[in-house]
Amino acid sequence: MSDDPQGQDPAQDDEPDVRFTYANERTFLAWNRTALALIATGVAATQLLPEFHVAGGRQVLGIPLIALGALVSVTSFQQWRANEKAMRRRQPLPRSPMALVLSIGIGVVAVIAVVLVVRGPK
Amino acid sequence: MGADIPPGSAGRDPGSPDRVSDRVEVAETWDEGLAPQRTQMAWGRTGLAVAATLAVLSRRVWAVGGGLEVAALVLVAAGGLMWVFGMRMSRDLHLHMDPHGLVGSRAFALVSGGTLLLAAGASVFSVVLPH
Repeated sequence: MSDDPQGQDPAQDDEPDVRFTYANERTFLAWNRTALALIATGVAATQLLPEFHVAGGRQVLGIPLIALGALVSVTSFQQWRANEKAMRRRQPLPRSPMALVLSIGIGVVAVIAVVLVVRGPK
Repeated sequence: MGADIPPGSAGRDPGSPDRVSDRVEVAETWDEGLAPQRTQMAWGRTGLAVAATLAVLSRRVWAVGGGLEVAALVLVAAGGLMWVFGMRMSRDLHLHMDPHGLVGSRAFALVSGGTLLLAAGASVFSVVLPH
């Protein structure tokens, strides 16, 4: 590899199966697409939805989505590095809490959306 | 160990006589299959997602109201540029330097940083109320 992602002693590393490397890369890209979708949805919520009865309702709905997108983008890179390191050292892949965090985050936003919709547009 | 492998040679041309290290012997058994094509398509899909996000974020380019919005547009432009450079770097590494798809942490850091900047710009746009 031309660019060691971990800055560790290359003598301890083995070149992993190329298919796993590609899979790790595609997983990173999939998480980034998720982040981009969250960001775009957050912006659309604040910019395109009608005003709600609740003051600042659009921001309450959109800003958590954008923050979740930012979090996903950062953790996707960390996860890629951790996976790469584990594969090169023939260790088990580390577990990521991001699936749980993402599920809870989207669930919370869904609850907010339900409350705003029940209260109705202004 | 890695010094035995010239850039761009590992995993390709398994019959090459200058490949003597154990690492290369392992590499000769690899079958990439369709993984490179699938990864290339994943980059394409992600590029489309970036373009769509930039389109959503740029809809206020012609109606910039104040300093905060200008700052948000600068953040969005910087994020888009980081994505372009990250994707370009990954493509070059795929084509010329690293046949295994290890595009390197710098390309991935650029891509993640670009997404982060887009999120920052989106946050500013969302705090500044819509027109």
